[in-house]
Amino acid sequence: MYQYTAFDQSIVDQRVAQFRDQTERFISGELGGEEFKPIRLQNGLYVQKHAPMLRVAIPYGLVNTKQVRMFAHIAREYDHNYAHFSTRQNIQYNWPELHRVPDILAELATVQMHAIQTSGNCIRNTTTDQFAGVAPDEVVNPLVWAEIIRQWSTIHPEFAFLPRKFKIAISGSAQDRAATLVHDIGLIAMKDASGQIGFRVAAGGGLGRTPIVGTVIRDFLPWQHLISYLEAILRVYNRLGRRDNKYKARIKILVKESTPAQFTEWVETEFEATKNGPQLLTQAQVDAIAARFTQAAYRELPADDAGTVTFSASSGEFARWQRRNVHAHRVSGYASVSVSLKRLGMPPGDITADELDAIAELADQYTQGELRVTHEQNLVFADVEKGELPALWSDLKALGMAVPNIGLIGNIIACPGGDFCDLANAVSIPVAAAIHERFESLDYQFDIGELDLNISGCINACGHHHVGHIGILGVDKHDEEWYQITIGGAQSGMPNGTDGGTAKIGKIIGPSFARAQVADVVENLIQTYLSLRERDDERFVDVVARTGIDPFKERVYAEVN
Amino acid sequence: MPKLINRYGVVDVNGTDGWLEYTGDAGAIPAGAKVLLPLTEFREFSGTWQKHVGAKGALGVRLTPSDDPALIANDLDKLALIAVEFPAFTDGRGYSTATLLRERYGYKGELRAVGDVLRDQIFLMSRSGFTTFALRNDQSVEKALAAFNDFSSYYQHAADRFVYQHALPLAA
Ligand code: SF4
Repeated sequence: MYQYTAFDQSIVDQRVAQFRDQTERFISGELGGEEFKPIRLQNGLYVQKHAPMLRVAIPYGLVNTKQVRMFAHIAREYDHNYAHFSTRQNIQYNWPELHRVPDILAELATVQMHAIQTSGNCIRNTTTDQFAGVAPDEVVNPLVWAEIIRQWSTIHPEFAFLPRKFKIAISGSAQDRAATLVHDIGLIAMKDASGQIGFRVAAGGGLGRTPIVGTVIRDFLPWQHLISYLEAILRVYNRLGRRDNKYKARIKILVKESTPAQFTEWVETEFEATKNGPQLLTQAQVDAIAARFTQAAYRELPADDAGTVTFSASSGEFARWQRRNVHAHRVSGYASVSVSLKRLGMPPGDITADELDAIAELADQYTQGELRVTHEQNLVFADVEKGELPALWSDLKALGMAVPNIGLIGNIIACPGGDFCDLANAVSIPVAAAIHERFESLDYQFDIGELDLNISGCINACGHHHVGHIGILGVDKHDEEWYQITIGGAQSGMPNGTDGGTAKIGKIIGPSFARAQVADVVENLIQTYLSLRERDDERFVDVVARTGIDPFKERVYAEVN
Repeated sequence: MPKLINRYGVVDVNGTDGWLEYTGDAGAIPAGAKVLLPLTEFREFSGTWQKHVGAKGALGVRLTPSDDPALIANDLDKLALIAVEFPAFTDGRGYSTATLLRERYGYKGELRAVGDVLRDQIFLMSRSGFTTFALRNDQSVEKALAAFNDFSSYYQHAADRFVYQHALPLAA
């Protein structure tokens, strides 16, 4: 966890003061709504159906228990006793009052948190792998680089009014768990033959109306040039990105319309001119930032804990949770644990104030006081001793938070949709609930195996539906809620291409469905898959890749008609 | 008339500081005047204008957001003013224009933000290398002057380092 310097603190404090003044000027009528809009957005504040929505950044997903307790406090004091984890390592409050938002931000600043640039046409919160720093397949720890990007992009004067929002993701392991190829810039931290750290840089990926997998524009960028290269990309985009049409304003359209080759040439020309300027990073700077990260203290432990192995053999329920929610750790004797926020009867990613406090309690007890927030809207305890797993499991179970569905169909990703969001065509949460109910049986979920099901309430794709193995998108048909279904999407691939490559955009299976039909359609897709799969470990998405979408389509529409 | 300020105070309550905008009528510009030209006119007639205004006069260029500053990169020593237009405060291209002029092409003179120039963007404009600001009519000078101090410190290098001195953590 990065610890603020006095300098970092002064920036967030001054930002709170600035926004307090701006909010007061808006409330008094001195500042017009149009002028206040980008200001409030860049401080995380949307105007939604019922009330403003405040989106707070959890930079690259790391959070400590003091901060989690602050989340609980804010949920109680300023909201309706709950909060929502988004798909971008942010936490959202759905009911704050505008005049109290500066107070919320001031409270957050006391625990080194902020809502800076969580919305608006600027560089957003940089996201990364939830297992950064602890994953066994990690080549380069992306956290320090993510923090450097956070600092550089915070209140960057040149890039506060971009054509559109701008999202950067970074991953440093063999498997890209940050879905970097569907971001405006996707960075893979790696090492060259001599062991030097650098980045593979992709640009122009994204979901939304025009889903595109990003183009790799640099195979290896030495780390010293990270900032100047990012600036070169942003400058080209800021100057040449389209501003005439909101739907064509993302960098992906510029890359596509100008061609990736032309775009790369512009960036490289800009970079050549500035690469040895003052943006050049030094080892001392990187070390200084790295030194401000707390380091977990690990004990020397055997690879496996005998007690846990025995317990696992005797408790099928624990073993099942272990199989889905416990992940390998780079340090012997430790594990990472996912806490699923996909519970029957709760909207995906929602958590109550009491649960936040309880989770903080457990994180203090079983980890070194830190958690991670995942883009799948779940939480991760990163440093758990294997010997403690049974105790942690039973404590989570007592809270109803030991749901063993990570990677399964129950782990539905869903945006807030029509229940909260002004832009929605259709609701998401009730659809997630209907599917969750349909697949309530864990035996069934385990039989189906790995499956990502993602739901967005509109084409903005906050629920990342394009990259779900099954994606569900709310569409508006004659003022009614309908749902379009895609299959075969995938959020990431191995950078070395060993799993066939890359992020994939799902294919639309055909005309959309009424809300009441969706759970049946999903059931039919699953039944088709089960009848087609050749081995138990052939996943849904593998079958779609092998057979194409036709068998699925035929079955689904035969049943509907 | 918009009021013209810099970070130290009001430069000109009439907003122009004596600069005349070229409106297509060369006869309206007396010898010895300070004249602000659109990019195309400057490029076509820069030699002629120089003669017209003479040693006592001065030339400036007014850039729209889509104008490429590279086109005047070789003429910067002839220019006493570059004005960059913000047709709407949400159009952020001018920030990159300013950055390029300062960083890439080494322009040292007056860089003026004109158009939809508002209190809440002045800090960012100043950091991007602008030195004078023709405020939109409804803006309070006093509040605009306070905006230069919205933040006492910053994380990243920006083009204002060619104008002011400061130390940054990412520059340590
Ligand atoms: S996908 Fe659409 S409906 Fe869902 S949160 Fe985003 S904007 Fe709102």
